[in-house]
Amino acid sequence: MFGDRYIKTKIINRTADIFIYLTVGLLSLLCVLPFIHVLAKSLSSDAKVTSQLVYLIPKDFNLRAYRSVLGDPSMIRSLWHTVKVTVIFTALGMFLTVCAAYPLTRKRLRGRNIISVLFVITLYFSGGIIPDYLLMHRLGLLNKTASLILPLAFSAYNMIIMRTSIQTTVPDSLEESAFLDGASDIRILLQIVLPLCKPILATLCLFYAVGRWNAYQDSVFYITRQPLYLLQHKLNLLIQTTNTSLTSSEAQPDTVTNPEVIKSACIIFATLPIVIVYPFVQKYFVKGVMIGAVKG
Amino acid sequence: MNRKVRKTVSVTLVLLLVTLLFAACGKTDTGTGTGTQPTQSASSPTEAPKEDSKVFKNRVTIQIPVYDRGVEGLPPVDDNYWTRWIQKEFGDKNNITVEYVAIPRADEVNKFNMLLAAGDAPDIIFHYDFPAAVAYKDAGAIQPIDIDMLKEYAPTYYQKNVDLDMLKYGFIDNQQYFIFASRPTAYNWLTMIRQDWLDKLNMPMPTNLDEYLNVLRAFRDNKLGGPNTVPQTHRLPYPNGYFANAYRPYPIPEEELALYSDLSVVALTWEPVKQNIKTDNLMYNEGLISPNFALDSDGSKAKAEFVTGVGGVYGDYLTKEGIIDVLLSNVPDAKLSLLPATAGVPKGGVPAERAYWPFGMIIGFNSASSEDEVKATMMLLEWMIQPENLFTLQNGIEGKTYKMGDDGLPIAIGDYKGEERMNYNSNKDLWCLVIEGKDYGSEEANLKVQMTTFAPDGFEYLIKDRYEECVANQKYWYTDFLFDTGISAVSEYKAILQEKFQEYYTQLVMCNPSEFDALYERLCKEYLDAGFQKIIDEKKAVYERMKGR
Repeated sequence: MFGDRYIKTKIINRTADIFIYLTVGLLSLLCVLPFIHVLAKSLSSDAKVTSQLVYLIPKDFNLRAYRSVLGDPSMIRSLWHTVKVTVIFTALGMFLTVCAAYPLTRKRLRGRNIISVLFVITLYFSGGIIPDYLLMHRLGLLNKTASLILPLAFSAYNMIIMRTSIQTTVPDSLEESAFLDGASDIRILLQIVLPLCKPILATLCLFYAVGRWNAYQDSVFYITRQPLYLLQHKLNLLIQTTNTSLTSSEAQPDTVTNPEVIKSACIIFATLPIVIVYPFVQKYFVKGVMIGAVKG
Repeated sequence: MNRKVRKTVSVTLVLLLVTLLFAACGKTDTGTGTGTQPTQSASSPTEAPKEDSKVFKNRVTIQIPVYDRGVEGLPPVDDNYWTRWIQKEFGDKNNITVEYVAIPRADEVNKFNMLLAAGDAPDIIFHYDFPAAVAYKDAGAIQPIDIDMLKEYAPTYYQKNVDLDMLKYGFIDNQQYFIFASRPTAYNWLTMIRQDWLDKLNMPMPTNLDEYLNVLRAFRDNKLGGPNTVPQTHRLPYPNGYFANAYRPYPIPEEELALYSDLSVVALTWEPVKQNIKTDNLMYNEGLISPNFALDSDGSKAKAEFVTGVGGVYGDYLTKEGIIDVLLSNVPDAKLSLLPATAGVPKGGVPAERAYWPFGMIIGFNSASSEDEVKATMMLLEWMIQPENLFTLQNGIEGKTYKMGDDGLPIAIGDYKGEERMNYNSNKDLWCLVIEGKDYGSEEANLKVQMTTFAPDGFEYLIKDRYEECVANQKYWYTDFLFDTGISAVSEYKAILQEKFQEYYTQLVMCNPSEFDALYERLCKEYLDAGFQKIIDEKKAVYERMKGR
């Protein structure tokens, strides 16, 4: 009888496992298949792609599209520019976040509730696109790389995650003892608080970096000088333009704007860096999401 | 504690609202001033001393928009060999700095509006579509043009506008708001039919709708393109482009033309449109068109069907590469003919197609531009329209970007990769200010160039046939009615109506033919309620005012 039940549960577990694997497998296929499709297209010949004969396996395998993408100095320049902006943006964002989050966890900071509320308001309300644009205009930041760094550099959402994390991982008593030992505020922050918060620092770095890498709207709005385009902005232009042709009375060109193959190669080119980085920091990503889930 | 928090929240919210209020009020009165002031003060003492010399004493900076099409592998549109060439050949000689402002092609209206809101817009505001250009004018973004100034600073450009009778289009509310680039006709929009299929069936080229449907049925029954034969490829129509060309009455009563022929919104309730959709419905139910057309919003599926040899009929802008060459790589012995426009027309009708306006780019001057900036911009137009300058801009440098053919017509060297290489589409986005295509002086020469630029080797006759057909049918064509003011209901409702049209069209084509009339009735009512009635009413009011009723 005992064995019977054991087998029964085993079977139930098995079927449950199979079911779970199947669902998860299907879901992940759903995510990865379009990507493989684009990859296959980027490695095929123009004729096969126009004929829509390429699905998951490249036909007439060749690297011509990549050669032309990599041979285009503006693409490389954009990539380099985007990397630069992302690094500066992330460093600045982390600096601001730490500087805001740590003091807000200390009870001796007067008015910290008001400050917190002010931060939270920015989570719910924003000025809107046109006022934002006018602000950038007045500040003289249009067509400056700073317009891609400053406005988004501080994220209240990330600050709240950071604050919550400091509150839960660094007990007040630890700070007090350091204080009694004669450590200054800055020293406490640098030598006691931050080392304890390494995982969350890594997470937020990733949040900032991925967010910046994938965002293009601000670049579309604020930048009209081509050398300053971010990679995603270029990509956006590339994809969008081909969809507009007949809807206006413009005379049609004698050449195709961007062959599908080149488009696919550009998409892969722009996505690859973040895809390469992702697996190495992904564990922190999960952790960060968990921290956000526990409200302080 | 709790009360304290609540208090602080309410205080901050009030403060926030107050600041927002002030910010919003402050914007309006400073906004218009800032854009113009610095340039005005810089250039005000300029013109006075010498009347005849048009060279500016103080440097004038003008900003000219240029489309950014995101084309891979080309230099930046706003800073390249040719923009620098314009600066050197035109700017430096007239003490003018020409700055180019990149405008994303797919997002141009948003970009312009944003630049206008910031007082940062270029001196020229342009658009290809008349209703959209008028919308800029209605928003106050365009300044009236002083015709005498145009005559003085851009005489050739002015004369061209007069010769082609284009100025009247830009004369709105009793003032001249727009001037126009000219538009030589291009003959590369055409519908192709597989001649080898017709030959196999021993059928003649269809000349009316009944014959055409019979040909398609024969294509279907004989499975000439394999088991999945698509007799006529079909895609989801553009949300604004369904003109029912084959079903329009001839002659079209002017009022009908005014109310229903429009580039922005499809006239779903118009009888010709109904008839056209009804035919599409019939063809769909008989299996004569692509069964999955509703999913094919960009036409790539229809194209794929044709180039793989599955489809028998395909319409598109012909390009040298990407269509016929691919078809030949899949079906080496395919033969093509031009499908005459009459093949879609019911017996007894004529192809009373919607014709393009006779103009290309519609050009207005930014209302924030100073007089000197407008003058300098006019001088740029005048310089660019000079044949020798235009020729260089369109063709580049001999021996590098083009070589002279035996007939005296330039032949592009496509793969030139040096510094002087042309921007996308032969620098079109730079010279679109003066003309919409290449003009080599005569119809014959133009046709000759078009035959070699648009068609792959051996298929030049397609362009020629299309040209001859256009010449023969031109007498039936109508351009849209010209209102003397913007129709505000169009800009208000076009987005929603465009979306609805594609949805309704799909329903109508895919429904059972016996249900068609009832469904059409119902959807028309919804369409009218969604804003189309308002458009008709407003157009009608303006039309009757213009006719003095």
